Amino acid sequence: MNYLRTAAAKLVGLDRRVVFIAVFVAVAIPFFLPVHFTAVPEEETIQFDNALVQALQSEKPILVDVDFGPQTMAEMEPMLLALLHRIFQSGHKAIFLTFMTEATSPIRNYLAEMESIYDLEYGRDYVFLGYASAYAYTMYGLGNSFSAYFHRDDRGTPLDRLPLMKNVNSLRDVSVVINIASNAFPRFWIQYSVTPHGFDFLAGTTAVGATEYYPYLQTGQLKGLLAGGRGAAEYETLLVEKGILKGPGDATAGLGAQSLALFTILGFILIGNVAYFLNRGKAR
Amino acid sequence: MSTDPYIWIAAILTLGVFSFLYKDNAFFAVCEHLVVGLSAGYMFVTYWNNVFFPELILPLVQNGTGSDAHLWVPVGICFLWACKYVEKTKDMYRLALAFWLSIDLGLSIPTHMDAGVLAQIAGTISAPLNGSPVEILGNLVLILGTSFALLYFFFSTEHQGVLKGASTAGTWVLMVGFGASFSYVILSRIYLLIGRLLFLFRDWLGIAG
Amino acid sequence: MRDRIAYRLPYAVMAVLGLFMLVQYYIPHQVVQAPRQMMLQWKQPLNGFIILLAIVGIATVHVRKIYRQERRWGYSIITLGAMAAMIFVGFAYGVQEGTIFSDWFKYLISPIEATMFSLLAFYVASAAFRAFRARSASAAILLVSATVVMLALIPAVSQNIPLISEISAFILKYPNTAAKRAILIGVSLGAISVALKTIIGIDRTLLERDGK
Repeated sequence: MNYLRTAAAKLVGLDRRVVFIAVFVAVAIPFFLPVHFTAVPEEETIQFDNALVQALQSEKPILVDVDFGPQTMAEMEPMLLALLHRIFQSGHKAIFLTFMTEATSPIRNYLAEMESIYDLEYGRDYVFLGYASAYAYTMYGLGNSFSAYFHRDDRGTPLDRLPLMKNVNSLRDVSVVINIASNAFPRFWIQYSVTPHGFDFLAGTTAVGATEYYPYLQTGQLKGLLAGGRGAAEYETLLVEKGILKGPGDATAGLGAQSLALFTILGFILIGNVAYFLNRGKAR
Repeated sequence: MSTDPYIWIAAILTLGVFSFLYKDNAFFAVCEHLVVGLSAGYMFVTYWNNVFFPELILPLVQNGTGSDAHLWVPVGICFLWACKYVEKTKDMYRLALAFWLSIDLGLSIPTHMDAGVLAQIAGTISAPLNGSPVEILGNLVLILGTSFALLYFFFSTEHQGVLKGASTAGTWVLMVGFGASFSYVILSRIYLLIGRLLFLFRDWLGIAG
Repeated sequence: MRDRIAYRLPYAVMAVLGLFMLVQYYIPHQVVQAPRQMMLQWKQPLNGFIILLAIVGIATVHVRKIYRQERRWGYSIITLGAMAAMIFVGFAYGVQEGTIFSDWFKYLISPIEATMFSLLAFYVASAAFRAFRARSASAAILLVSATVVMLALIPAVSQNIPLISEISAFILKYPNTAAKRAILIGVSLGAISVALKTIIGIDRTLLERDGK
């Protein structure tokens, strides 16, 4: 027993860099192993796609607000790419905007990629309105007018010269609003726009904030949720099953690393607790 | 292995930031100061191109005496805001701040009430107590859990007797919620590391699929 | 006179505009909605101006550091140089896809920022190892909840061990919703109370703190 306690005390006193190395190895090893995992779509992911399918049946364009920067790109990029394939493969039109400066450059990059894959025409198939500040007030004001907050799009073209924007005056003229965000913006959308104006709203968030959105799912203020990298992996599986994606993307590729890393952290938590109880017994 | 010089620069910068895990060093400090400068420059250009120029300057130049004449008001408020930096006029900044806060606060009252209070209460009391046994149990947990957790935040009376029991049950509900959040936080952070290692192993070194 | 403008007028502005923004929410008539629309429009350039001032502020701090040759002033040259270069390429060559501005964002800003955030994976693991203990009943509940949800996130576990996915989904859908809802209601009521007190001038901290 004493031996165990000494070992436990030593383990708890481990240099933090040993923990760092263990985490690094746990994340790195699965990339070199021929093991592949898939994520089974959960209820929220299926709800997300069902709501999107309904919107895709409408003639109105979809509004996508993309709010993530490089910090959370690993989680959010696969999610957005899956969504873009979903929208553009169905031949639907979409309007994009952002309330985060750092999202502007990645959005231009993703849209250019989609333009070449699906042979899209800017202004007719899609529009990027660019960055808008004062997010809460713009979200609220868009319920009445687009042109008051976006005099011009990201390329400097007045909105009335864009064919896609001809029939879009306010949020009443879009079929659904989707917010792919690494911050609290889906909450602001719900508070400042969905509740007062009443339209269908879907969100994709980082895993960090995902659990906060369950109350909104229950009330119907939020129609579907993609929760972080895991939600993105589930969505990739769903779209592969439906034949929209040819193969899974980066979110699914990370499932092996995610699994081993979670096991490692669970192991550390277990070791820490066993050591705590052994030493607590000694202290008594 | 990649032959793109940009990929090499990105890989070197990635390793520079990772070097902080060993200890703070000059390589990391260079990366840190570089990103602050680049990001500030990026923000400046984006704000100018997407906000200041198209939403203020251009409408005022083209239509400043017509339907966009009201945009002279924010110009005046910006001027008041800038008074902050001059010792003699810095008190005038309070007017700009008052304007700024009044819109924020005024709009936050009804929106918080609608989306954060009324809709949530409606969602809780209308949770159906029918369906499968799991759904009935779940909705009971939802109704009682929300009520007990709210009682935990009720400080107008001392927590004794029934109130103490209910608020203790409330803390348990809160702990279950925090546990779920914690596991998702860990998951989220791991994904960020996965992204960087995918870049190093796949895009830079080309040794992983 | 100046005191009245600087110290009394802000409270009048706050009360009038604040109450207007509150009341307009419930009145869809054009007489109220037209000025509301204008006021919301003013926020964009105002926000933009404040951010531009903040960026000028960052530049000023670093110029001062270099001028006075304060500790680590050499790094300030990197910051200022990078800022100037980014602004130059943005205005000189444009910002759209395929420009230098977009490449620098992708290959300079992105890897540094993404890696800085990825460091959190190491620190969160270290923190879980050192601090996540079942010291009390509440902490034990937190630990059990976190462990179940984490196990369900591992495909090899959730697809092979029966019920783990269902229990995790139950936790997220019901007790988690209850917990987050209670916090949401509490936060919302708190925000409403602070906003009302500030608008009618009972709470003066927001306006006094920066104004003096």
